[in-house]
Order: sequence, then C-alpha cells, then structure tokens
Amino acid sequence: MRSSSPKRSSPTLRAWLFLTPSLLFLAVLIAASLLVLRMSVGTKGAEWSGFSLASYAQLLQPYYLKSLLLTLRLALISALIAVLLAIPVGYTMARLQSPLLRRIFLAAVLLPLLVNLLLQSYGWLVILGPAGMLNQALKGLGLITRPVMMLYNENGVLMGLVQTAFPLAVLPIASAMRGVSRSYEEAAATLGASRFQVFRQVILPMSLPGIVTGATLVFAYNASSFVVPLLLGGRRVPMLAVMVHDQIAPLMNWPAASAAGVVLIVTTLAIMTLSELFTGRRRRRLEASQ
Amino acid sequence: MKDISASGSELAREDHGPAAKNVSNVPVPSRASSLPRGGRKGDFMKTRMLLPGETGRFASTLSWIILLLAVMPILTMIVMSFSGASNLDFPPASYSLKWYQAAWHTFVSPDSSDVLSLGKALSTSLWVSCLTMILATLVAVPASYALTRCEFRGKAVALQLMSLPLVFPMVVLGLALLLIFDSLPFHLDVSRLVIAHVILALPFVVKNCTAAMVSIGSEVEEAAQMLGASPTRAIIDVVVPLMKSGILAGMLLAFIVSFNEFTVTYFLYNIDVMTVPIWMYSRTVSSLDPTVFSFAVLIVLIDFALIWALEKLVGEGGVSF
Amino acid sequence: MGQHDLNRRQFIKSVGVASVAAATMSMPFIRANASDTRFQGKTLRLLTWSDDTGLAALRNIAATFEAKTGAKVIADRTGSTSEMVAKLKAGGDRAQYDVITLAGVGAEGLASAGLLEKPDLNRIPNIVDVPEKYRTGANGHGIGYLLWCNSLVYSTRTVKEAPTSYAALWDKDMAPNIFLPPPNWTEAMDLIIIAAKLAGGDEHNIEPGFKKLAELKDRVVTLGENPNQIAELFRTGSLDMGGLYAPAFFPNQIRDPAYGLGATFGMKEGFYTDLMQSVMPKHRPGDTDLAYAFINHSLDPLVQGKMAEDIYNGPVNAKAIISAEARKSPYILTPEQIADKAIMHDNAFLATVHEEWIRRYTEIFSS
Repeated sequence: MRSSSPKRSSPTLRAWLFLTPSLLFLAVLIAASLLVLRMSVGTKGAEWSGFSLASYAQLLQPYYLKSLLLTLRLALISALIAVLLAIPVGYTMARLQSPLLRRIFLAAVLLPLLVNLLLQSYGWLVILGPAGMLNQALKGLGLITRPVMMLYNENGVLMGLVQTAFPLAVLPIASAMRGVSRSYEEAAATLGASRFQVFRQVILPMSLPGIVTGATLVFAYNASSFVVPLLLGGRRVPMLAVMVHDQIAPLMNWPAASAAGVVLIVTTLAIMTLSELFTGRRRRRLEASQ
Repeated sequence: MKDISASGSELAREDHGPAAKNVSNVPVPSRASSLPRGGRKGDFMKTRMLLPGETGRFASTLSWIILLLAVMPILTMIVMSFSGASNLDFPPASYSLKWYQAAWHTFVSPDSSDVLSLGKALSTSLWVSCLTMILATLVAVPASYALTRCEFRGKAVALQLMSLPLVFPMVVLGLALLLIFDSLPFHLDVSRLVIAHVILALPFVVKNCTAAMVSIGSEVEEAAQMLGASPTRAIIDVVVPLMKSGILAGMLLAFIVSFNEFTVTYFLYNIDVMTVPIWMYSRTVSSLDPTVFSFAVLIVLIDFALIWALEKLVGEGGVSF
Repeated sequence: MGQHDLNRRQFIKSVGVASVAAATMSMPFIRANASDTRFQGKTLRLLTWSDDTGLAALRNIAATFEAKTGAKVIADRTGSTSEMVAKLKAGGDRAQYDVITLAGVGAEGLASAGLLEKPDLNRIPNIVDVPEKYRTGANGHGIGYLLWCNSLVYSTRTVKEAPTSYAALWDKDMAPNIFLPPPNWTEAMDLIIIAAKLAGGDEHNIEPGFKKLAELKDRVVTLGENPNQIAELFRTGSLDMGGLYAPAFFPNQIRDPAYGLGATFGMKEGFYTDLMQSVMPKHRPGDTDLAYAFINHSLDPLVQGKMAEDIYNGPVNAKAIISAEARKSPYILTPEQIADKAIMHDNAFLATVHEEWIRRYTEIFSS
C-alpha cells in the first residue's frame, strides 16, 4: 500500500520537476522578454547604453491610448463572438459518431488557420468587397444603391479576427464536451429535462473550462494580431500590434516598439489573469463536485 | 475503474471523461427503449425520437452553416484556382487546369530554381513542424499536470509564462529572438526555428491539456494508486489516455502554428533554412498569379493528410502512448 | 540539411524567383565581353525586392550579369525595405550579402547604424553618365540605380482624360472613390507635402496640408498596402483614382486592358521620385571587385533602358537606351522627362518629421 497519495498540495520539488522540460524553452522566452524590457528604456541608436523613459511617456498620448483601447475592445468582442459560434460547432463535433465525419469536420474547422491570410483576403474581397457577391446580390434585390463597405473598416477586421481565431475556440470546447459523458445527458433526460435544458444545465457548465480556454486563447491571439488589421482593415484600423510593427519597420525605433509591446503584453495578461480569477472560483467548485 | 452502468457495450464504445463516477446508481436506459418525452416544450420537429447525446438537426445544421461561412473565402480561393482567367473574376468565366499545370511545372522543370526552393522549403517546413509538435507535446503534458494538480510557490508566475508567447507581438519577439541567437557563441540553424516555434506553440498545447486535465478529477489518479499503481504509472496509464482529445487538439494546433508561422520565422531564417510561408510570401507580393492559389491548395491538402493521420493515431480509438 | 550540392548546379538561386519565361528569356542585347570572364566561377549574394521590381532586377540585371561575366548570382528576394532593414540591423556583422538593393530611407538607416561601406566611385565607370543628384544617397553610402516614380493612378473607364494636377484627387465628380498610400510609406509623406502646397503651405508649414487631407476622408475606400487588392478594386469599378502610387507596382495589370488601369506622370506640379540604391555592407561574404562590377553593370545604358521598359521605373543613367516603341508609352519615363519634372524629396528632412506625420496621417484616416 502506498503511503502517500497525490493530493492537491504536492511538494514544490515535484511540480518543478514536471516543469523543467518547459523551462528550457521558457528560459529563451524569458531572455527575450528581458531584452525587450531593456530596449524599451533605451534610446533610438543607443538601445543598450542609453536610458530614458521617453518611449513610455510617448505612449501616454491619446493616439496610443485610443489604439490600445481599440485593440482590447476588438479582441474581447471577437473572443465572445468566436466562443458563441464555437459552442454549437464544438458540440456537434464532440457528439459525431462516425470517425470519417469527425475527421472531415476537424479538417474543415482548421481550414482558416491553414490557409495564408493574404490569399484568404482575396477571397473576402470577392465576397464582401464593394463589388463583391454580397453587394451585387443586395443591389440586385434593390435593397441598396451604393455598395455597403464591409471591408477596410472595423467590421472587416472584426470578422477577420473571428474567422481566423475560430478554430482556437472550437478545439478546446469540443474536447471538453467530449469529456462530458453521455450518461449525464441520458440521466438528465430520464429525470425529465428537455434537450435544451440538458444542454444548458448539464453540458455547458461541465464544459466551462474548455469554453474559458477557448475565449482566453482567442482574446490573447487577437490582441497581438497585426496581419488581419493590415489586410482587412485597409490600414484604417490602428490596432496596437500594427503600430508596433511600424515602429520596427520604417521607423526603426526599437525602444518605442519595445515599450508599446510591453504595454500590450502587460494589459492583455492582466485581463487574462482577472478572468482566470473570476472563473477560478467556479472551476474549483466544479472540480470539487467531480 | 470500471464503468458500472447497465448498457456496458454501448457506453464502452464512447469516450468517457469523468467516466461513470456518479451515475452508478442511476438506471441508464439501453438504446433500444424509447424515452418518456411526449409533449415537452423545446423538442423540435423530429420524425424519430432523438436520444440524448446525439446531435439534433438544429445543432448540426447550425454548425454546418457556421462552418460554411468560416471557410467561404477559402472555397472561393479554391474555385479561383480552377479559373481560366488570370484575374480574380468570380465566378470565373471559364475553367481550366492551367494554373495547376504551371504549379506542377515548377515541380518538374529541372532548370527553374523554384523547384529546389519549394522542395527544400517544404521538407524544412515539415521537419520543423513535426519536431515542434512532438517537443511541444512532450514538454506540455507534464507542465500542464504541474499546473493543474500541484500547488507550489511561483505557480501564478508559471501560468503567466505559459500565456506569454500568445500576447507577445510577433515582430518584437522575432527581433528579440534574433538578437539572442546571434549573441550565442555557436551557430544554430534549424534548431533556432524549432526553439522559436515550440515557444510559440506552447500556450496552445498547455491550455488544451490543462482544460482536458481539469475535467478529469483527481479521484481517478487516487483510485489508481489505491489499486496499487505508482504515481507515475497512475498518470501515464490513466490520466493521459483520458486526456487524449485535449492532447490531440494541442498537437494539431502546434503543428499548424508551426507550419504556417511567418513573422518570427522571417527574422530567424536564412537562405539555407527556409520554410514554406517564407517561400510563398515572395510569390504573393508580386503581381497576382493564380498559380499561388494552386500552391495554397496543395499546402492545404498536405495539411489535411497530416491532420487525418494524426487524428487516426492519437484520437479516440487511436493508439495510446 | 545536406542539400549544398544542389547550390552549385543552380544558375540563379532565389526565393520564388522569376517564372519559367524569365529562365528561357533570350538576352540579345548584352554582348559577351571576353575580358569580363575574370569572374568565372565566383558568387555574388544579392538581397533584393520581393515584388515585381525584384523579379525585373533578376531578369534584367542579374541574369545579364551572369551571361556577361560568368559569375553566379544567388538572390534572396524576401525583402520589402522596412523588414529587410530591421533584420539586417539586428544581424549586425554577420556577412550575408554582397550587394543589397533598397530604398533611400533604408539605406540611411543602415548607414547610420554603421553597417555600410562607402563605395569608391572611381571603381564604377558608368556613374559619370548619371546626373549628380541621382548618383549617391545616404551620405554617399548608396549608389542610385533606379528611380521609383510615383504617379496618379486612375480608372480609364470613369476618368476620360488623364488628370493634369494632383488637385484632381479633391474633385468629387472626377474621383468619387479614391485610395491613398498607407501611412508608413514615404509616398504618404509626399502626399502630405503636395496637399500642403495645394493649400498654400509647404513642407515647413505643414498644417494646411493635414487640413486639406482631412477633406478626402469620406471618399477614401482604402489605404493601399497591397497593390493586387488595389488593381482588383479598379477592375471591378470600385475605385476611380488614387495616388501617390507607382505603376511599377502592377505592370502586368496595367498592360491588361481588362483592368482599366491608367497612370500618369504628367501632373503640372511634377512627380515625386525616390532614389533606389545599391549598398555594400561592410562585412561581405564575396569578392569586392565582383560587387563593384555588379553595381556598375546595373548602371549600364542598355540594362537601364531594359529595366525602365520592363517595370516602369525611371532610369538614372542619362544615356539610358529606350527604344522608340517604348517611348510612346505613357508609363515609361525617359531621362528627358525625368530631368524636366522629377522631384526628389529630402530624405534627411523627412527623417525628422516621419514619426509625427505618420501618426497624424493615421489619425485622419482611421475609420
């Protein structure tokens, strides 16, 4: 008989042992972060020797603050929409019986991540562009006279963010739902619940960890997105990562880019931590009940 | 840990997360019987009674519609790759395979340097992505165990570190990594790509694994240990197989993230170690040539094949590791 | 990965280089010179553009250089100036390339980071035919090799006559749907100056420029980062006019009547140019004589003429040979036109205001 069984509080040593392989890679990441931090307090041309907080001061200008708010807002909205759309898709995927159908579904879900975004943007141009299929259809039906601009503005960017990050939400939700045993659904049904009630009161709560993971992944992924606003925003949606890119690319102002990067990272992580705390209590209750 | 429910054979074919822990005393109806459902609100138009756990027409129709919307630009692109014209006219006035022929030509023609560049880029990409996927998973599974099951000092920091690559603006990360690798006394080629890609893929794999692990309560392990297994065996033989779909999700995402990664790779590649997205980039910036769509379709097919193989291997009913 | 043997067999190795047509293109206009075969077997590493200009550079400059001298040119074609420069600056003293072609602003960035060698003009004989102001840039570190010329682009279907002034952009009837350059391009900086001049100011009194630009906001469909998207919007009739943009971005689409694309340099205010330069990094992997020979070759009159005809860039060599056929085209600039109407912006001045102007430009047009 074993003398000790694994309880919640394992010795710290064991935990760190498990973490060691990842630490090797994370060490590189930490080095990169420190480098960025050092650059952010340097000056242009003297990134390592200079010291100045000018780059951070510059970020207090309304221009950058607006950009930060815009970024967080779009990331948040896209996370909510993506998760909302991912729930039915994840549920279907989790309950599909035939392995063939499951694989087709999986491949279809992953497609937006598999295809080069520039090429997809041509596809969007053809469908949603000012002379695209949708506008032509609407014109044909007599509903509009001037084309509706769905691209090259915030809506276009939001749509692109949802579409490209959609798989990130579906996968964790699907695997969480797959983990909810059918016996629960059957039990609930036996007790008289309708399909919808079963879904809402049994499956959804039990897949909550997956849903939260999906939302977090989409939020984080989209907060630092710069290709989508570049290609679908017509350069008119200044998300913060685009500004960072500009600071590195034509402006060659590495300290400013680093400072903006640091601010973006810190705010996004802060929001994610808050959401973890918020749902953490719920999650612990869930774990306790299992 | 046995499933105590009545319809053992039916239920055994499906995957169980928390298995049948709490429902051992509930009489679970077998498939053959119909359920007492008459006259309930919320039932939709059905000709045959749907059993709980099956996807209803509503859910699956909704899913297919959502999926269709999500892949529409890609479907458009696929149709355009068969277009007879060299512009983005849609629907195309004529259809032809000439762009595929042009793409094939670059594979087959011996003089054109496209051949060697694309072939080399493709093999480098596959190699780097497979390595990334395997390494990231090997690293993430124990890490996610530590993050879910253990309480230790610095856990909060570790959690944030796992999310850091996701929120790090790629341009800055690429630049920083380049500076770091260049400052090392030794030369790394493929390895620096792999290291960078594993870092980028870690959050995806770890988060999916932790989500899966959280749904599996720790009682499973405890039960296994009570039955005589050592803690390590308990994890390897019980927890990991139960997490399979979470691990699979992580692996797939790691592979895809690595295969399609552009920004960070741009800073770290050199002429001998180049990946497919870098190769594609120069083609897509020039005047539009539908050949580029053919290449994209080809890459999608390769990705599909790999997803298929991986799902077969790791997914439900697949080989357990 | 063990594929180094393949490198030797290659004629031109590049990343996604010219189509099959280029490989089989005949090069009758370069006569092999017996004395130039001293470079037989040597290799030149070149970093150049990822767009059509890079392709043209490989077709007209690199390929002909190889035919003439027997050297091999290995080209990396993944650069747009900005990212290229950031990567090079980070790369420091690792020797990767012998010659790099890039825009003036990038050359200046690299020069100020101390990464470039100042070329000896005496080793570039063809430079005597180049007008003084196009010879060097970046404080002598770069050698001009073509002029990137910006035009007004318009739809030949809706705009009957080529516009004769930049003021056409502000004409609601002539141009109901327009596009403008993205904020991080120097073309945007030039546009601000143009707007200022139209409103009575100039580059030192820039406020009127921003005010005038703001008038365009409602008619701007997009800020054209991707030329293919722009060409497509013209083809489907969603755009009427735009600028500043170089026809060199979409030579194939301009040549195709289905797109209805036209471009003009005939604005009475003149057209803006940017000097594209070749630079030599301090740490070079290859032969210095070879690098000089390559740069000299890029200034050869025949080569210059061919580049201008192919890709609609302006030649810097005043003696560039442009065929009579090509002179008829409105897109191919002759040295005479350049001498007459080309305006070079002041890179040094722009560097001081770049950041602030980008910010204000972005603010005006963000939706």
